[in-house]
This record gives sequence, structure tokens and C-alpha cells, in this order.
Amino acid sequence: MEKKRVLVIGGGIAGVTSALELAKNGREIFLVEREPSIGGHAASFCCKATDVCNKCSVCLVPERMKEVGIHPQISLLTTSEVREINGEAGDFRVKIVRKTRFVDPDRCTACGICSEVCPVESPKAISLPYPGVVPPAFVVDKDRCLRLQGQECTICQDKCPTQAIDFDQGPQEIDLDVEATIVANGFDVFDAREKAPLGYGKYPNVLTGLDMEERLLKDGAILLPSNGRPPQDVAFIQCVGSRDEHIGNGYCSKICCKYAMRFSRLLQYQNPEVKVTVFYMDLQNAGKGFGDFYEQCKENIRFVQGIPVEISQVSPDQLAVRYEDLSQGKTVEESHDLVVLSVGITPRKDARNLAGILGVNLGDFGFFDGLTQIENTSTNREGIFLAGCCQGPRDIPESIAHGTLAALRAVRTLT
Amino acid sequence: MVEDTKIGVFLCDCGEVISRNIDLSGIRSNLEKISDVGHVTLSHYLCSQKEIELMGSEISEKGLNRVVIGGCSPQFCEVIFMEAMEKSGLNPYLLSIANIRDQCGWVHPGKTRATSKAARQIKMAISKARFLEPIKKETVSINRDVLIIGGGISGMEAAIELSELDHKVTLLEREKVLGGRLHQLYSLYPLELTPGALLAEKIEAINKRANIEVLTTAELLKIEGHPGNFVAKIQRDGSPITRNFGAIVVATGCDTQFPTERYGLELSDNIITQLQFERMLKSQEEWDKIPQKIGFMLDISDEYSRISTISALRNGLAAKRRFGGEVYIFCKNLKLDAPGLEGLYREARDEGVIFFKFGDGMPTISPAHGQINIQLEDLYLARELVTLSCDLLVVDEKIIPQRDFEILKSILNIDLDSNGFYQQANVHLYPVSSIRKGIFSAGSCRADLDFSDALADGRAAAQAVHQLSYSGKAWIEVEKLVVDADKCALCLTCIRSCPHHAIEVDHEKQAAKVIDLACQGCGICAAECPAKAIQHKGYTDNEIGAQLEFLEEAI
Ligand SMILES: Cc1cc2nc3c(=O)[nH]c(=O)nc-3n(C[C@H](O)[C@H](O)[C@H](O)COP(=O)(O)OP(=O)(O)OC[C@H]3O[C@@H](n4cnc5c(N)ncnc54)[C@H](O)[C@@H]3O)c2cc1C
Ligand code: SF4
Ligand code: SF4
Repeated sequence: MEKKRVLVIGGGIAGVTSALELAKNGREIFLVEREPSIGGHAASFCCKATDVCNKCSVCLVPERMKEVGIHPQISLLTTSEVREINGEAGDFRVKIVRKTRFVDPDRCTACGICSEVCPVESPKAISLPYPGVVPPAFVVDKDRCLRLQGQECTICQDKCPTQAIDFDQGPQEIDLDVEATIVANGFDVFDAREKAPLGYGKYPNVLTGLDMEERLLKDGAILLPSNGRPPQDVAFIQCVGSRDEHIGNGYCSKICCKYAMRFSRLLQYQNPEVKVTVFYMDLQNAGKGFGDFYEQCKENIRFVQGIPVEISQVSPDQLAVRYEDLSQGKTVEESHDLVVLSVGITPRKDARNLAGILGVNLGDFGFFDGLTQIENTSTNREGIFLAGCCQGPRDIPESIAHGTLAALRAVRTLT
Repeated sequence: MVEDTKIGVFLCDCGEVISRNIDLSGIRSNLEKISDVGHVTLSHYLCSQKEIELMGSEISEKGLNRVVIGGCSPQFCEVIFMEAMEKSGLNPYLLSIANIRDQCGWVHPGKTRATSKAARQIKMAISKARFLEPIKKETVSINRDVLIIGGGISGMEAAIELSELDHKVTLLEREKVLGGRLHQLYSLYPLELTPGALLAEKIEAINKRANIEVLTTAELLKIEGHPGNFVAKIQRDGSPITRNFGAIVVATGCDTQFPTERYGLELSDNIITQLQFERMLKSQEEWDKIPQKIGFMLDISDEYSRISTISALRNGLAAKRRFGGEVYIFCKNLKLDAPGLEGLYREARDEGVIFFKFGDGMPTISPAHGQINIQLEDLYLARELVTLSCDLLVVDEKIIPQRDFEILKSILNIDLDSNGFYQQANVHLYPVSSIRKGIFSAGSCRADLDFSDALADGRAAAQAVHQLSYSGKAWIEVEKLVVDADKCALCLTCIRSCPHHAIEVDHEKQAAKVIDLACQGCGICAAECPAKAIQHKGYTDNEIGAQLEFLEEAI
């Protein structure tokens, strides 16, 4: 039997899952990823375990990424994008543009010599994004690389023992024939700058949930950006950019309540002295085992119903949070040294563009539209399926389940 | 130890990464002196195509029968080396890897000490290699037929999905008809379709498929055999039926309960459950008097269930539309983290449903003169004490396990969680798998799932079954765990300790026997067996002992 071929767009956890499921079902997969490595958002997240596993599911990601990286039936096309898709279910012709990655992942052995010789210092212009990255190959930082900034430098290219580095290669066009396509291009994190009164980007000690993930992954702890000391009094503000009709985001992002609670526990585990307050509208504490977790959180975390609308900086290390205290019926101000904005999930900025290329519809709020509410992996175009947060907010296990379902639907059109 | 080992040692420099900190040439000349080492090479990149091919030809030309590699982590290249060995006709399990890059060169400064550690690591790998035994892989057949227990939405969905993937399905239902909870519901968020119409659609789809057999008024009595080849004894209308299946999906749904003690109240004519209210909405006749003020009470029976929020929102809206009048929803936290719920909440507010929020203080509910008086501190009104009266109070219920979960659990030999629902192998990674291969659970029998999630769960279970059995066979490692029949005293320790129920008694040999397809390779049996009758290839006592002995000697 000739192997059926499937295109997967986006190598986040949803796309990775679809690719693996299909490969295990004997299909041949082309996984197109815009970035130099796969994993999407979740690859930059940290484990939130305290003395027990808090089931944030982030650990599910690396294992699957690795599996994709070595699976013989999955071809990884990184730094690539789909430009055109013609034909119909069972017979799509796809045009892909693969920009140069500079470091050929098939040759790079991640020996690190390039980074050692790179003259740009802290950070280097060529590095391994993080251990365990897939493909396990170094990545050039276009903004820092002297060569790509127009200067004469080929040191890394000359020193690479496997000749994996090539600055001269241009973009490549790849044509593929596939029988089905799965879209899994994910989401954008809400840009907290849109909520100017909250001071993100203006006050150093206002961070987002995403910043927390990335800092914890990198440093293993959270320190105040203003003075490098551990925070003493942290506030989380929920629903930033979610459940907000005024900005057109009239939906709950599903993940932010849970990550805020997990971060709170983690902060207090690392430093039992730290005070944590969570400002919220409704806490999303449903889900197997989550009620018990919330009960534990309640012991040391202050939950305040009401969402602050303004943050100001009273001193370099102190922020004033103004909110309506519903229990007193008046506006009050309290101070915190760190404020975390629990930003949510929004559609990709370029979703409309991709939707146009694919000829599929966007639905409410700008996410990709499922055919029906329960057939939400199928689209208006037969043979094109959706997986993960591109269709609406999901956490990692749900993105995995959705990716699995999309694969199942694709299998059905292929048989 | 096997007679006449001839070991090939392949050292890899991984670019120049390893030799920077480790004197590989020194190690190499030392290794050449070991009598059963038949070959040592040092390569720049062992994982490159060229070197791999070279490695293959060395194996066949020199007649090497064990391979030891000193290089990077087996996570990266183990598969490549195993493939190369197989191509050269050597069993790929006769491989032992010393990770001298990640575990030594990268982490220890100082060439002398790093070199001495690396040398020891490699020698340990060599001593292990001497005891390695080949592991065979074989194709075993797996029955593609599937048994689904429970004909609710998850079970029906799994059945349809599997039948479309060309599996023969037997759908077992205890009641006279399929549908389960769908019979009791008035509407189904997020569908426009009524539960009745959806059920009709699903039943039609099931009836159309020749490869779905529906057995109503039927129960599972017994399961024999192993994953991939189960034999099920079923009772239908009192008569026995026997069928063979490769996999089983449990989708028996949940039960609900009104927790009288939490409310301090009994149900009555005007204090009713969501399900009772749905039934009343469904049949127009039952209303003696149209209620003018209806209250929905949430978060008392179960603070953490999304189902009650969904039911209150859709039933509240339905009541408002049907009767006009006042509709109140009393809650602590609205659970809106599912598609469209925020929109439904707005819709309810726009249409005049009034929401009250209470904190940790319980509302007081007191029936008086045909009315229900409710008193609570409302969070949005500065904790002002609000008093309201309703003609009808609809209360939430707790989702609880069905009474017969315990029975089915012992028939199937799977686990229940601390709340009495079916336990997943891993709540996140394998949400529909059980601890036993080939047995899955889906829908509200495993967690408090709303309709869309239960439906999705049925499909996920179908995918998991398909994954296991689509080709009708599996390519598995055989006799990775070996039982020495002479040593086995049949104490049954292994049978009790194997979490995956992969061991049975081989009556002919009078010894324990590991079922390869069911075994997940955890090795617990080998560790537990008091007679040391079970050995886990790759981790046999000899292999580990040889390494340890050597480790001590070298230190
Ligand atoms: C701050 C924050 C914290 C979170 N914490 C948790 C948590 O603790 N636990 C949890 O379960 N979930 C958490 N989540 C949710 C989790 O991030 C998502 O469920 C998950 O990452 C979704 O995966 P995805 O594959 O759908 O999307 P993504 O991770 O966004 O992946 C999409 C991929 O597609 C690529 N791509 C995009 N466009 C294109 C294109 N045109 N062509 C090719 N490739 C393209 C992207 O580069 C990316 O690699 C959190 C989310 C946020 C915002
Ligand atoms: S999960 Fe919580 S913080 Fe996020 S949008 Fe929903 S209610 Fe707001
Ligand atoms: S290795 Fe684990 S799964 Fe296999 S038989 Fe032994 S105890 Fe059971």
C-alpha cells in the first residue's frame, strides 16, 4: 500500500500530537513549522511542581517533541510556511517556502563549537535555544548575528566541523502532494500593552503569565526585575484580555486561572513568606482533581473577587493596585511589589491570512471555525482539519485530545 | 556469561566535544588490551551515515557479537545503532551504551578525573555487554473487534467512530434502549438539536452500520484471556453469549445524588433537582401552576462541577423564555471555561436572568407557605444581606459513581480512583487508558465531564483502540521477562504485584508466565520475586551485578 501523506501546519503540542498519531497509523507526515524549532508556546513553559506534581502538563510536551524529531515517517520542515494550497481532499497540491535556517539540522550535532567561537557576547548570536530542543540544532539570532547585520563574519561557518552552517543559501520552494491537511498554528498570547492602565511595558515589576513561565524555565525562580530580589507580596490579576467584550474577546481563556493558582503555589513553595493575592471574576476550578487543589490554595492565598483597573508605580520597587472592593463597596488601593497579569489566549494575528490561503472560515473572535460545535476539528473545506488553540482556547491535555481527534478525522478521509 | 563474547567498542568524539575533556585515545589503547574486545574504533561522528555503515561492516567482518558505545545519550542515537546492528544480522538488544558526553565530559572539569570516570563507564558497559541476551521481536495477532460497555453518548460515539474505522463493535447496554442520560435532558448545550433528536440521529447511524451489534438488556459477566484477545461472557435476557474482542471500552456513565445533609433540606414539590426540572420542561402537562420566580442554586452540592453552571444557564434561559417571570441564579463561581459559555452567560444576563454571588458563607434556604426563602450575603452588593423568595428552587446535584462500578472493576481487573470513578493510566497523558492494555474508559464514568467533553472522550477512546489494533497485529518484544520454571515456587507474588495484570499461571509448567502483549516492561515482578525466578532482560541480576562489581573494583 502506498503511504498516505498528510500536511500538518504548526509544530505546537497540537500539531505534534496530530503528526504522531497519524504516523503511528502508518501515514507519512510533513510538519511545517514557521520557527526554527518545534514545540510552540508550551516548549517555553516551566514545570510547576512543588513537593507534589501540580499537573500543569508541561512535561507532556518534550517527550512528544522528541518522538517527532526521530520518527522516520515525519519530515520536519522548519522555518517554513505554506504559501498556496490547491486541489481537493485526497489530492492537495501544496507550495511551501522554506527560508534558510542557516544551520542545517540534519548536519548539526549540537557540539557547540559555533557558539564558542562567535564573537558576539552575552548572549551569543548562535546558540541552542534550550536543552532538548527539536530539531537538536543551533539557531542563529538574526538580530545579533554580525553577518546577518551586514558585517563580514563567517567564523562559525568556518569552524563548524560538520559544515552545517551556510549563510548563503536562499529560500527554497517545496512542492508537496498530500491527501489531507491539519491546521495547528496555535494562538498569540494577549498583548498586555493593550491595557495601558495596567502598566505592562512601563513598570518593570509588572509581568505577564508568559514572562513568569519563561523566567521560571530559564532561572528556576522569580526575582523582581527592578532590584533582583525575591518578591514579598505578589498580586495576580485574572482575565487580562479575556472575558472582555470591550476589546472583542468575549470568551474565557480557560488556562489563566489554573496557571495563576499553580504559580501562586510554586512561589509560596519556593518562599513560604511570600504573600499572594489573586484578583478574579470567577475562578475556573472545575476539572478532575482541581477542586482539591483549589482547597489547598485557599489556605495561604488571598482570593479577592474584583478586577483591578489601574496600576501605578509608587516607588521603583512598589506598585499600587487600585480595585473596587466589592465587600466594602468602594475603591481601594493596596501595594504589591510584583504584579502578574494573567494574560489569555487570542487568535494568531495572521490567522486571517492563513485562512485565506487555505480557504477555510474564521469564526467567533477570529479563531478558526469548526464545522459544527461538536465537529470542531472539521472545516468548511473537506480534507482540511483543525487542531489545538487555533480553534479556540485549550490547555495542553485538551490540545493533545484535539490533535488526536483531528488525526482521527484525517484518517477517516484517507481510508 | 555467554561463551566466546567478541565485543566491538565504538567510541565517538561527537565533533571534538568529548575529546576536549576526555583522553579518548588513551582509553582506546587500554581497551584494546581486554581479551574479549575484538575491535575498538574512535570516530569523529559515529552517528554519521558513513560511520554507521562502517560499524555495520566491522560487525559482520570481524564477527562481533556484542556492541558497546561510548558517546552521547542513548536518547539520541540508540535507535540508529540498533538499526545498524540489525542490518548486520546481530540482535539489536546486544548493545550497551556509556553516555560519556552528557554524564561525564560535559559535567566534569579536569581531564584526568573525567578520563578516569569515562574509562570506568565504558568498562561497566563492557561488563554488562558480556551478559546481554538477545530479545526476539515477533508479530502477535490482535483481534480488531471491540466491546463497548454502556450505550450513552460516549459509548455510542465510540461505537460509530470505530465502526467507521472498520472495526466490528458490540455495544452492550443494560437498559432496554440506548441513550442513557440523553433521555432525561431537555436541551444540550452547545447543540441546537434536542437530546431526543440527537439520540435518534445516533441510533440511526448505529442501525445503518452492519458492523455494530447492539445488545440491550445485557450485562458483562466475565472476561477471560488477554489484551488483544479477550473472551467475554455476556448475559442477555438471561441467556449467555460468548464473544471475542481485542479491546474493551467502559462507558457506563455516572449517577447523581442530592446531598440532603449539605443542604439541610429534603427535595419537595418546590425544591427540585436540575434533572427533575428538565423533565418538567420537556413535558408541558406537568405544570400545575406556572412558577413566577424560579431560583437556581449552584456550588453547594459540588463547588467544582461545570455541569451545574451549564445546566443552570441553559435551563434558566429556557425558563425565562418560556414563563417570563423572574429567574435567579445563585452561585459562588460560574464555571465558564468551555466554548461559548461566556456568551451564554451574557445572553442570560441580557435577557434578564439575575445573578447573585455568595462567598464562603452558605445561603440560608427556608421553605415557608409554599415559597422558598433564600438569604445570602451578596458579594457584588458589598456583602449586603439579600432576601428573596422563589416559587421554585432548582438545586444542583453531586455527580457520583454508579453503584456497579465495583463489580465491573473486578470483572475487568482495573482500578477506581479515590472518588470511585474509573482511574486513568495517566489523567493527562493517557486520559482514556486504564492500567491494563486494551481496556479503556470514556465519558462521565471516569470524570465529571460535560456533554461535549463526554462526546470527545468517546472519540478519544475510539482512537486509542484503533491505535492498538488497527492492523490486527502488534510487533512486540517477546520474553523480555523470563520466568525460570525450576525456581518459580508459584507463590504468586508476581501476579499480585504486577500493576498491569500481565502475569498468569502456566499450569503445564507449574510456573508463572508473563503475557508479552500485556507486559509494559516495568520490571516490578523481577524485583519482587522472592525466588529470583524472574529476570528482566537488559536489567538481569547478572548484568547489574557485573557492573556494580566492576564499579567497586575501579573505585
Ligand atoms: C501564559 C500561559 C500559560 C499557560 N500555561 C499552561 C499550563 O500550565 N498548562 C497547560 O495545560 N496549558 C497552559 N497554557 C496553554 C498552552 O499554552 C496551550 O494549550 C498549548 O500551547 C496550545 O498548543 P498549540 O499547538 O495549539 O499552539 P502553539 O503552542 O501556539 O503552537 C503553534 C505552532 O505553530 C507555529 N505556527 C504558527 N503559524 C504558523 C504558520 N503559518 N505556518 C507554520 N507554522 C506556524 C508556531 O510557531 C507554533 O510552533 C498556557 C498558556 C499561556 C498563554
Ligand atoms: S481562565 Fe480565569 S483568568 Fe482566564 S479568562 Fe477564564 S476566568 Fe479569566
Ligand atoms: S514487567 Fe511489569 S508489566 Fe511486565 S509482567 Fe512484570 S510487573 Fe507486569
